[in-house]
Amino acid sequence: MTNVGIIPGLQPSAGQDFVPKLVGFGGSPTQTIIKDTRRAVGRYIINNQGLVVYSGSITFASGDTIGSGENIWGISLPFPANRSSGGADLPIGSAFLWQGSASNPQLVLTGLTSLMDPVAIGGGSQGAQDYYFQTFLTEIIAFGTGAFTSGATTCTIDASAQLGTTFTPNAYDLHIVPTNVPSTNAQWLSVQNINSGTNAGTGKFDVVIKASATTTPVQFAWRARAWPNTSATFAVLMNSQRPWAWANGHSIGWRVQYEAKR
Amino acid sequence: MTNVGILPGLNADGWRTYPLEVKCVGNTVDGGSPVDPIIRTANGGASIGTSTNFARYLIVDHQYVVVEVMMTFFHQETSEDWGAGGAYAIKLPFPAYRMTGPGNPCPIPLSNGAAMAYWAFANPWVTVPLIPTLADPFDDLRGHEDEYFQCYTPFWLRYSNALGNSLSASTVTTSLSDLWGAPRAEDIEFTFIDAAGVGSGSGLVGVTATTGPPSTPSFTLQCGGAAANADFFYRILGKHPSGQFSALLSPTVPWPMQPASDFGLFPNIFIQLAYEAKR
Repeated sequence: MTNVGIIPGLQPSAGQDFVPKLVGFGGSPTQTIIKDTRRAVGRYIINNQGLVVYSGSITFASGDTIGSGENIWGISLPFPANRSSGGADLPIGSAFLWQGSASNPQLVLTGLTSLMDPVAIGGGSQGAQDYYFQTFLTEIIAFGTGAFTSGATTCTIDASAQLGTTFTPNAYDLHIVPTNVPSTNAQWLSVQNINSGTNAGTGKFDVVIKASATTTPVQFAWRARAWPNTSATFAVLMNSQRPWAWANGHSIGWRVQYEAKR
Repeated sequence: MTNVGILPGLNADGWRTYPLEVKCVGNTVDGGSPVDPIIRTANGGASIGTSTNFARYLIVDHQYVVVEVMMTFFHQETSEDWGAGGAYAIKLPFPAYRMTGPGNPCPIPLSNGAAMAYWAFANPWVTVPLIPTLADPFDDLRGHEDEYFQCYTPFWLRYSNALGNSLSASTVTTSLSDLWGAPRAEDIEFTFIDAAGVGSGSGLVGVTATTGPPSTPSFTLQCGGAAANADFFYRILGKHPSGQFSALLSPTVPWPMQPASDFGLFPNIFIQLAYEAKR
């Protein structure tokens, strides 16, 4: 039978509210500003041996400033953490990365959280890394459509708004699906100059076909579900452009547990 | 405002370290000869980064145990260090209560998602979530399965971005020699990065065959006509084949733990979990 109400012997609530901060570290960050703290909520409970269980969420909405220019995003902890070893990357919980119900498509991704790295470049953590957690990503996501012009064998896609200009996906990260029947057999489709060559530092890539069409050129949809890599600093960690370009309506939720500093 | 320093009313530190022990385990019917990995710790070897390898626990109360484990394989180590022939079974500080009954599998997660395997500072730089459960009653655990946990992986993965993947005629066969099963055609993604020398009529490209043990696991890419020096990248997010340990974290799943493999310098396996100790 399902229990209803208060657990026998339960003491008064030990849960405490905490307003989390989302802070950009590294690079040249413009910081995130959440106008309404009702959209930045957190709550924690501490057991008597210093294990802090902390959950919360941040939701972006119109009027907020979503940060930019940073290497990574950190989210503040209610108490500074004790690092259990020399390694910073022990996962302490999971994060729910969500684009919100109004988005189409409505992407959902799981993140893995750990205490923040001691970021020391640009707007570094200044020794405050014990006060924040960071989020590891399993992939970086972008998508869109493209259309060749009449007689062209190259169509350049600008993915910079979603992937930035420093992250370079590998070719196998890019998935191209033709969406029409062209008037001439394109024969062969390849992806070239991925943020390199003529597209270096622009966040663009070329889709190249063997034979062009004039009456009905090739149209296509593209998708990147890219594995992070070393082309961008801290590419495996969440920031304002990873795992996607964060926007209004998107939210970050988390539940972590960690040892507080003594 | 964020608090600084000691929490008011906090009791003495309850965290304790314990020896990190990892085994490779399977069943007699699998015919394997498991070789356990060698996990060097700060006091047990000369390899760099050994301080990363550790295990510790905290008993919260009522025998609810929180465990943290970190293990890393470094490129200086030898082939025996990451083990072979079975799934990884990692020691718990205390035997666990098995709610499915003694000797039964217990596919119930021990974590709220705080477990991951990832390759650091490599291309790709991959993170895979792990799902820790109590260890299955493998023959190699000899009835001690309550003292170990294992980790499920959502998929296995391999990739290549080497220019050597060249479709020089109409077919190319790519070996995946460390796999335990054949890759499935629908799991293989490939992208061409040039069109040099590709003849007309060659636009259709498909995976025409995949093979698995006992022959060398591989897949064949075939196009409709002649293709000269058409280079491609591929990646596979593979579904697990059948078998009691093929979906579990192991020396080859989700990737080869061999640090000198295509995946880069060193793989990390970092886990936080909680369980009920046996009374």
